Amino acid sequence: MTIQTFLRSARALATASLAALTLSAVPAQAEFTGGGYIYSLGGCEEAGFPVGTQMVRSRYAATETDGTNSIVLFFAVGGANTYTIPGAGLEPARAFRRATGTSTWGAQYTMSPAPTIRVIERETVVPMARVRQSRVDQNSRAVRLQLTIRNFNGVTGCAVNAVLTMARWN
Amino acid sequence: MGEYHTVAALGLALSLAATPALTATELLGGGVLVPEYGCEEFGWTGPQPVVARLAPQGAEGNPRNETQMALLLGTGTIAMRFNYNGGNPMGPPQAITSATYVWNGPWTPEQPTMQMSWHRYGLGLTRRTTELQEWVVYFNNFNEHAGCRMMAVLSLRVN
Repeated sequence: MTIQTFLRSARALATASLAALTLSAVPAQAEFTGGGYIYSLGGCEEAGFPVGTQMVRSRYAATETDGTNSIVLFFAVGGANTYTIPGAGLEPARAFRRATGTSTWGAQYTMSPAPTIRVIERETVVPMARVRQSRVDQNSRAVRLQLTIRNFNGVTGCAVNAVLTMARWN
Repeated sequence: MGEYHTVAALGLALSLAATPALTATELLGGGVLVPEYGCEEFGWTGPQPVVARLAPQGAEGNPRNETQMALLLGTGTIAMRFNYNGGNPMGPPQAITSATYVWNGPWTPEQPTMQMSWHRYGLGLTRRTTELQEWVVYFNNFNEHAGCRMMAVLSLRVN
């Protein structure tokens, strides 16, 4: 192997490693994946979605482990919503929190008015301990989220409940 | 707003077309499949998001002794019937009376080896159930894979 070949392969290797690192860093260690359902609490009739109970797949990244709260809903009928909730982790509380959202159907839309989200329940399962708690950390194996989302899908006044069950994905 | 109307029409069409006429009470939802052990050699290595349909036995319009469930995975479908005999959390694994696996063509083994049981940490399923926020089901010989134990954690609600 000439020094030039060595350098070329070393550079190639470095590039490959960097790419691998970047790729593996995108889905964070404690991101959750799963699904559940959503249903309207009212105000969605004119928009026509959701009708009845809708099946969804979902992903959830938590501030506690990923630096930001992000929830993605993949609707079984096609289309998706992404919600980002700035600030502290999603501990259950009475108050609605400000969020930002995008929806993807025929195009991507920024939700306006902005959605607000209340975390009704968050329950995690820690392996071995068999303890349920609301806290999310690196040891959380699975999580169930129950949310109320207002201005859902970018529709003013449309409120839905979402119940999502997800497991740690890595 | 045009796109929302399209979506609504699609959702309605799906509900009408996809619900079997025989089933009057159906829960819809989803969750995640998590391999417990023995599944790796068959290629099941991580959690799989899933959407699901469930028609509990004894609920209005449903058969008295037969529950139907479909697990709709991203790349295939497993549909099954079983009789949970009133439901006994942490009871012995129960036989799946019939199962159809659709990966490419439909495959319906004469006698499925897959069995199911459910965990006491989850909620029980009764004929009056309208919402199951957390239903933890274990499958032995999941997808007819000998020795593969799969956990399903599902959230479902009546449509």
